[in-house]
Amino acid sequence: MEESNKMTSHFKLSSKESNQKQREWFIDYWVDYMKTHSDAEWSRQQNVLINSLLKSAKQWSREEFRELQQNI
Amino acid sequence: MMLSFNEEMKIIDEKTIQLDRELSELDQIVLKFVKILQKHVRYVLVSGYVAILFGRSRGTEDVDFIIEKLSKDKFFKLYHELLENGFWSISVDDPQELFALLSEEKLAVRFAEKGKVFPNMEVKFVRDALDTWALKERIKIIIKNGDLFTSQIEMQIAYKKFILKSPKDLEDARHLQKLFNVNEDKINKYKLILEQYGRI
Repeated sequence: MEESNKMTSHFKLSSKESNQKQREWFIDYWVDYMKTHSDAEWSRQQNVLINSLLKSAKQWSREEFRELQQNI
Repeated sequence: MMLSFNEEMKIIDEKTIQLDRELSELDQIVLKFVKILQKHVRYVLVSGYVAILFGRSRGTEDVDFIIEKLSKDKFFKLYHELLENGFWSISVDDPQELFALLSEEKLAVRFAEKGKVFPNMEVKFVRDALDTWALKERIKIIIKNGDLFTSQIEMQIAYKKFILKSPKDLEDARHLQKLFNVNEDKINKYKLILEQYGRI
């Protein structure tokens, strides 16, 4: 209930502030989840995200990457 | 040094942590790279990957390593073994040029699995006393299929909080600080170390 109120109050903030607060809330929520679940359990869930991000990452050629690096 | 964050994670000693996480594809690539790297040189993992290893729910395209300075001959041996084991350099092809980037221009060079660009292993030589400290004080993380050496968690938090300071870094710091129950006094001690090394 307390967590729910915290979330509701975030919607009274500006959109940017609210987004940041929600991100922080999720970080804290996730850490609490990790502390109360096995390493195997939380990491399985985390890996869904990590593995899918790796799969969807645009695969550049080395040449494209080098060109990008030179322009930074 | 720090507190355990759940019943499974074991603090073996001051510089060793056992983590029973399932390995992600990213972890597997890092382990494959490290198995070659550590035959040639002492290394320490820093920055975003450390937070991800300890559960931060985000991805990354690069993994940052600091390594001891190597002679040209030793670097070439490392380079060739990486190539023989399915990695390639995405910075430049010529190992002479690659070594010059590391040693003279003091830049990072990147390796990835052959045919790919992401994720890549961003490697740089120690540049200053703080990098040397990170290597000397590195901690061992025992995971399935191998060990990884990372910078001290408290230093990672302080570095992200007081130096890098991007939203992503501040979130990584928040995650690690809450996970390891590190109080502000402790982080401020590491802030002092950063000040002593001229980073703040």
